[in-house]
Amino acid sequence: MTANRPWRGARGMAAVGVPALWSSAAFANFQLNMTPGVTSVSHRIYELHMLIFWICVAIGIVVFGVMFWSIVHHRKSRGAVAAQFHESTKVELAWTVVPVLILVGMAIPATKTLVAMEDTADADLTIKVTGYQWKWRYDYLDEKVGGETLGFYSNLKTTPQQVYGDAPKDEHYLLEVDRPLVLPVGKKVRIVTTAADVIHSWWVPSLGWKRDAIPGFINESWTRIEQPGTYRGQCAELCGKDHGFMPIVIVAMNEPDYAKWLADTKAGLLAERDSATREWSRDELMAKGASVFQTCAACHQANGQGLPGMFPPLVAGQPFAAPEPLLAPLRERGFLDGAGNIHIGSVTQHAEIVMKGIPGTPMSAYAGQLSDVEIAAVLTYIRNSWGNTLGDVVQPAAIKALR
Amino acid sequence: MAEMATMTMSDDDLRARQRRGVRRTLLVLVLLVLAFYLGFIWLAAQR
Amino acid sequence: MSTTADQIAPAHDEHHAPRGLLRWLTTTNHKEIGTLYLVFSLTMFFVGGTMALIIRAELFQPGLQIVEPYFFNQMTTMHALVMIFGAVMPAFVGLANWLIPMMIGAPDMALPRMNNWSFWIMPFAFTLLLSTLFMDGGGPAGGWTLYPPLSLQTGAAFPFVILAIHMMGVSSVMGAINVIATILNLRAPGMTLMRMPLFVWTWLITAYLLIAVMPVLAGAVTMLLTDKYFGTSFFNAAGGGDPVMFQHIFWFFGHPEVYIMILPAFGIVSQIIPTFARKPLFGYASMVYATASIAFLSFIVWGHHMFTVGMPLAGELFFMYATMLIAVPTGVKVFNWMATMWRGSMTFETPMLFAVAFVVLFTIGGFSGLMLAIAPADFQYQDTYFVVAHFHYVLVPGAVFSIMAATYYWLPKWTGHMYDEKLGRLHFWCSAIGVNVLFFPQHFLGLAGMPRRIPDYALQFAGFNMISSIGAFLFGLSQLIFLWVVIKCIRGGEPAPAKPWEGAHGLEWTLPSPAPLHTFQTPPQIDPSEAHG
Repeated sequence: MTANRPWRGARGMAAVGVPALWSSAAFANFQLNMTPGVTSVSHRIYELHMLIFWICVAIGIVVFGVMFWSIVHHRKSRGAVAAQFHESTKVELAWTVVPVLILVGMAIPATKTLVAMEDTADADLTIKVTGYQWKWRYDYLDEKVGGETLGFYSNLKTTPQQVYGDAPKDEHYLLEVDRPLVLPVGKKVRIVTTAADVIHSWWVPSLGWKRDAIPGFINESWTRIEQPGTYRGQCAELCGKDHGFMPIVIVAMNEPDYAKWLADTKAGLLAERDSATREWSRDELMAKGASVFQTCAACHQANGQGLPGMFPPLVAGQPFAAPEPLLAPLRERGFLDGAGNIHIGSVTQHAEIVMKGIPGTPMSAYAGQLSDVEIAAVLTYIRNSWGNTLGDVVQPAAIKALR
Repeated sequence: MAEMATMTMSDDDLRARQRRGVRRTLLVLVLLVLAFYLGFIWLAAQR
Repeated sequence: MSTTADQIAPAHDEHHAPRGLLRWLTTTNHKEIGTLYLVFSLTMFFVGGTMALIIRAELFQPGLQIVEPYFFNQMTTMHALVMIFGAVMPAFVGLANWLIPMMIGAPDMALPRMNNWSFWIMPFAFTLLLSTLFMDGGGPAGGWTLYPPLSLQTGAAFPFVILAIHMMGVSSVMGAINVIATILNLRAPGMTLMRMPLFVWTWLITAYLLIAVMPVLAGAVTMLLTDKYFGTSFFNAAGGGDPVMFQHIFWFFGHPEVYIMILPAFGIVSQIIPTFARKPLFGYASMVYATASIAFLSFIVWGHHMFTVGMPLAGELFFMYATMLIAVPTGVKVFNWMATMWRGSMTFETPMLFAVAFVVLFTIGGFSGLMLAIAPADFQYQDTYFVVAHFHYVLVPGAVFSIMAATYYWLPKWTGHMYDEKLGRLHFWCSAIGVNVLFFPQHFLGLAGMPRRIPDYALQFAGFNMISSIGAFLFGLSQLIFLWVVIKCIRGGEPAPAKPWEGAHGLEWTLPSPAPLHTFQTPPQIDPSEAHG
């Protein structure tokens, strides 16, 4: 997830050791089949899946049975003499018509299930799911907090140390997020999916379906979770480097718990917003910035060194070799000196890049994704890390002024 | 059957007939390829 | 149109044929070009296989051990492109070059110089494609499907990838034109269409599919190129375009492409099973009609790759029903092979072993295909390892096994030597066991919820991934036996008679082994009882 070379080299190879092998095998639980899930739709899909599976098994037993019987008995070594028949209209007609009838038998329940899945009417609440490279955002379209829609990002919680084998992998390795999507049990939830950058796909197996999240388009689905619990899933459409690292976690709660969670979350978001107006200390900003930088580290790497040819380093004086379309916007904004090395420009320019992004490059606009505090913190962090010694302390108020 | 007519043809006549056929096939197929290539871009541009 | 003149009097170039490398560079002989295609395909099979082993090595256990995620994505993308366009398709074109003229009694392909050109584009296309791995920002990493907007994030490699795909497309289209022109015009007198061997029939239909869909792929990637560099918005929602439209266009190419890789395999198996069952193929006519029906249906089922993009209900129902229908002609084929074996007098030399394994394992791939056709269930299966298992079952023990069966079957005709039967059987059993250990557990992984194209996975998937990786190395390494058998057979061995297989029928077996460079310069007499075996 972080290093800037394709191969992990000797250290990585050494990690493929016998002890690691055993520890991971201990976790393995050889699940064979699809989950029946926790919604009426997922039950119907599971039944459909099993029905077709058993039909296939039955056909397989007949076809392979006949084949193997003839392989055993109709061998030259057993003195079999070849018959010379080579067609039979009746038989050929039969094995055309019978499969058609079997298929009709499969199509009927499949059609019914499909029709039921499409019916998004009469939903109790609507959640907007937005895919980002590489995290999800959930907006509760019916809930307001301080005049705005209630919403938050949901990031992978598994640490790089676990991924790279420097720390033991916990039970929900790669399937844990900082803020799960919380849903009420027994309510019909309409889920609309879209994306901000590339196509993603939102999939929780226990709900029975996945739906693509496509930039510029909105897809509608629905679910009604029947039992409280935690349900995990992952992005299912290749969406770039960290496609494997954007899990989905749903926590389904009974109505009173859900109401309490809603109230707590709203209060928390309000407090977060209020903190933007006060003066922050340098240490506070650096600490906050380090955690916000995880977002940036996906491309610019945890050590700020970027990836040659793709993502520029964020360290002054570092060379950046890349195609001209990537270099020109940096030069225009004062972030590349004449020698082709990185130069850290003014706070205003720096904030502009983070907030507005650089069109035509993978650098997207973060004004909508990050709060004033977060932008201020991450700028402070970048400008004072990895050998950058600009000494600036960027206050949330300054960012607010730029909006 | 036209195919059966070739059974009684001289070798030279057969080869000449084949040469004409190959030319015709080539022309038709090249036009088909161009039509599919440009046709699909044109269709996409209509949106 | 002087190109066609060569085949009219091909004898003249025997006198001044260049030697050494130049001979291969300038050859217009269908057998030499066929050999070039097959050697190229085998090379690419090992290149793509190495990438697959890098993928499986990383997935051996959870965590990142060997490669970084971005490089992993380059490997999955390149593995697909190399295997599809570099290994499977050229192998079938190579077989077509070698066999079609011999099977229909033609002296050569109809357009021999174009034939040379369509092969020699390939090494350049693949050098270009593979070189992108070393460019700024790495090679393509957005999947072989090149979905925008993700594929537009590719670095400096992007235009090179597009150019390489264009070159492969031009090569395939020229190959297809050649096949059609040959089959339609150069059949020996008396070789009517319904007397052609099934391999020729399936290739004729495959060539039409290629003509129809390779230009569509070319169109799609051209639009990607203009979207990235010339400011168009075909697939950019912000500019009024539609990223899903790319998927429609891509799969309009992509689904027939799947059948391009399996129809010639059907043809090969339909040649081999009757030979070793010593019994005529059951239901020749229905085999031809079934192939044609599959080809027709392949044009109206592309939407089943896109059930989760949010199509209207009517669209999903249409694509579901159409896709389920494909099971009917495919079933007819499997039943016909079964009936051909029934009450035969079978022996199991290596080609037959591969052909029987093809029928069984391809059918398993067909069953999972039928399951995937059911749209509501596909909402679970889509983009998981279940799909990976499905298409590898139809492509590896399907298409690749058929190519290996064909190699063993016709190798005596090509080289004049018998291959080493013991090594051949060893290769078969290692491959057949390896391929199932490799791909069968992937069904379970997909059903349990593992998405495809991820470099690292949750701990509950660890067990089956480890088994799958072990199978991958068993399968991959056993292909070295194949390489050794082929080299050994080229270098020597027991001399092969004109017809090394007791039950074989067809014009190619009337020629001496090895087949001389120029054959059927005067058209052969067709014995109707010998036709299509």
